Amino acid sequence: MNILEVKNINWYLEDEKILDDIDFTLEEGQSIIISGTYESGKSLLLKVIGGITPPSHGRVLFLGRDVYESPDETIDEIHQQIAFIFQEGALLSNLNIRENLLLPLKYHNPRLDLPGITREIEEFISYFSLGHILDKRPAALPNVKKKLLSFVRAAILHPRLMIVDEPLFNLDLDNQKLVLKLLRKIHKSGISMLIVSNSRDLIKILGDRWLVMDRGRIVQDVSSSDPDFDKKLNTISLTDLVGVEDEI
Amino acid sequence: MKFKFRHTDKIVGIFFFGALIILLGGIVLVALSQKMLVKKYSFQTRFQDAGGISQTTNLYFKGFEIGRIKKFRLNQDNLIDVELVVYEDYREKIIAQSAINKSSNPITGRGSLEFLQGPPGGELLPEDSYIPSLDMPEGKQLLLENKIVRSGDVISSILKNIDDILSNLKKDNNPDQGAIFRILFNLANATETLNSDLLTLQDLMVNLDNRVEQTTVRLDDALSETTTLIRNYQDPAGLAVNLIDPGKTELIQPLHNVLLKLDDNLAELHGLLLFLNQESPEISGVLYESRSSLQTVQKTLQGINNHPLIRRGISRDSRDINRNIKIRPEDF
Amino acid sequence: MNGFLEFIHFTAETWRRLLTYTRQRQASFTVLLRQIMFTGYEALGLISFLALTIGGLIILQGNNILGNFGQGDLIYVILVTVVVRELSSILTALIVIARSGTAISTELGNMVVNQEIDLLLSFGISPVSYLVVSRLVGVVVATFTLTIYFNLVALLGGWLFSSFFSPINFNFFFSRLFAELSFLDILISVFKSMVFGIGIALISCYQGLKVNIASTEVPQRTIRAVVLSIVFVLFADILITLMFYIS
Repeated sequence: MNILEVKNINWYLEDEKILDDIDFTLEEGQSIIISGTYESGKSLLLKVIGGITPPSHGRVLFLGRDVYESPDETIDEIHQQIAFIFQEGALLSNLNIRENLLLPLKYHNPRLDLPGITREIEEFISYFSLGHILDKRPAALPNVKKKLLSFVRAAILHPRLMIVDEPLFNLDLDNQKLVLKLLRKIHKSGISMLIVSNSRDLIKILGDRWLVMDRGRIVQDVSSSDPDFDKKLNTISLTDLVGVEDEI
Repeated sequence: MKFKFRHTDKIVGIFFFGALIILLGGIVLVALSQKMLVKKYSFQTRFQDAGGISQTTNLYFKGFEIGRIKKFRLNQDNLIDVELVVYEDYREKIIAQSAINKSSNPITGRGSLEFLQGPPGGELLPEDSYIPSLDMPEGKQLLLENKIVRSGDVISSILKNIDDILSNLKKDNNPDQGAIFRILFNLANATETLNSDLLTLQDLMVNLDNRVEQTTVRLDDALSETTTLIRNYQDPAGLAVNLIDPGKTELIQPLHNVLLKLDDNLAELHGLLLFLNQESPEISGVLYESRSSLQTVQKTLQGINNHPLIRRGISRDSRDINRNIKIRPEDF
Repeated sequence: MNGFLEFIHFTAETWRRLLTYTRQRQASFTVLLRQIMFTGYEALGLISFLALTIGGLIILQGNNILGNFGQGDLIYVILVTVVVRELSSILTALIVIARSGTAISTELGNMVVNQEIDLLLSFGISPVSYLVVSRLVGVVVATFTLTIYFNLVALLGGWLFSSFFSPINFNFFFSRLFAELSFLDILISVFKSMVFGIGIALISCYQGLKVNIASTEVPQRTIRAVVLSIVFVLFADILITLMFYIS
């Protein structure tokens, strides 16, 4: 069953074509890693799929329902089943951490099992060793913590699809490991994933399928079951598809 | 800071509901002060014009506010139909043969209505009935028949008059309405002419005085000479007469008659001139007085005429007038 | 022209979201309370000070001029006309623009820059319903409330300053004042404050959300929000006055 169908997505900035006829599907439980250069438009594609930036042409279907052209209630439902993790780990600056973490849950379910959720939050906080931060404001936190908190927020949503933009960006090695472990655990529990990353390790550990984008087009689509998967993967450290993490 | 965030809901609640209470209180106070909660009875009246009345104009009786105007409109006969309400407490004051008088304060332009009660013991007027106003013939009739008494509000009637004058003056740009202004203007011009005429007349009088005196003296002389002549002729025993007219019928008698007649006439003229001479200071005095009072009038009118808003101001010609005045007392 | 059409669309969307606001639950209610707290309660001191001095100044000038004509009674008319009909809603609106209009457009602009708007969209939370509607309701409630306090304090200030000239009975002063006041005056004062609140909130939110990427756009948009809000308030005031008093 396809959890996600991306149909002929085009996206224009004035006359410039940023996304050019993107078309692929994601099966339930599958994970797709998208790699590409800075100008490939991969982050924009995630936003289009995540229901944030509408495409100029084309459709995005989540479980067969249009992410943009549906009744408000349907769109609400779709968003409750998709967790989006930003590269910078965006948090709302005028809410404290607790309010930030609970906002998407509370907004959609007023009768929330608050004690259960709180327990879950505390487990994740100790997993990432974040300390006593729940009553603090985002401005008081370093970027690393903000980024880790965005994983916590996504995890407690229990979504069916996770969309992650550069999960390892800005993190030290220890935290990269923690994040990878968490993502693998989530993926193992049957949650579909769509991740943008240029990390070979991440692609190897999480990728069921690997898409490479260049100037708004998908130029390579390899399944992990492909016998040439490893061989093709090795090329990215030598080609122009150099990820930020590897560069550092 | 903590305090504010913890009690936000309470503070906002007090802040908002406090304002709501103030608003409601204000509305209740307005309702009370405008007698909105009092039961009202409706009546009709009619005016010639709607000057000074508005939706909030009150109706007074003996200084008490007993009602107010509810609405008014211009009807097909170009009269103002007015609907009044009278408060419950004063309902029994509205009896037959009552009337309504409209007066307005000329400065604010706000008017008030006065209820003039009909003769005591009159029948209670039913609701919605018509109460005539003094603007209308039926109201004036009530006043003439002494059914109602116009209240002795002197100030308001003075103000009313001033209002009328002012409103007439204001209408100067309308050719049919600026009558008073034009009359004042013409009057001022007329006075100016009159004044110069008077000055001429006065000069004439002075000359006339002198001439009358001289003439009288000359006449006196002439008269006495004539008398002597007549006396001489009454007894014409001279030689020449005897030579020309021995019978005294051809020449002497007719001449004698002519001289007698002249004598009579001269005496009459003399008396007349004497009288004129004696009386002329009085006439001059009268003329002088009338002239000086006319000067005062003229100055006043000139003042109005030359009002800074209208013309130049009062002219400085008083010197001439004073010189003319000084001459006169010497003549007395 | 395009911008204006977009603004109309934005207004319509806000209106649509406002109608479903009751579905918006706890999260937005907190935002609403904070908005009223900031725009309303925290401006109360400034508004009161302004109202007191304005009421006093009107009495000072009015007594000075009208006393010469023996028309001291007109002071009540002037208080009602100037304070209740005009100044209360206009000055309150200007204070709200200066404090909250700028704050709203700056805050929303920064939220765009920090990707917080995208974050809300990813949660399936409409920024219009979560950010704009609560600010709109908050600003309208706050402006409405502040206008009422402004009226109260200005009229009290009028009485206070009148008492400096000649001791005047509180009850007498206010009974005369309320005799001059009509329902229409109160209604229009309240109505205006709400219209102004709606305009200020919509313009400020719209300008804030118009920021695209760069933080340098934020002050530019804030200035636009202030200018357009002032223009809106004055035009709306003229229109409302024409509608109610002149016809």
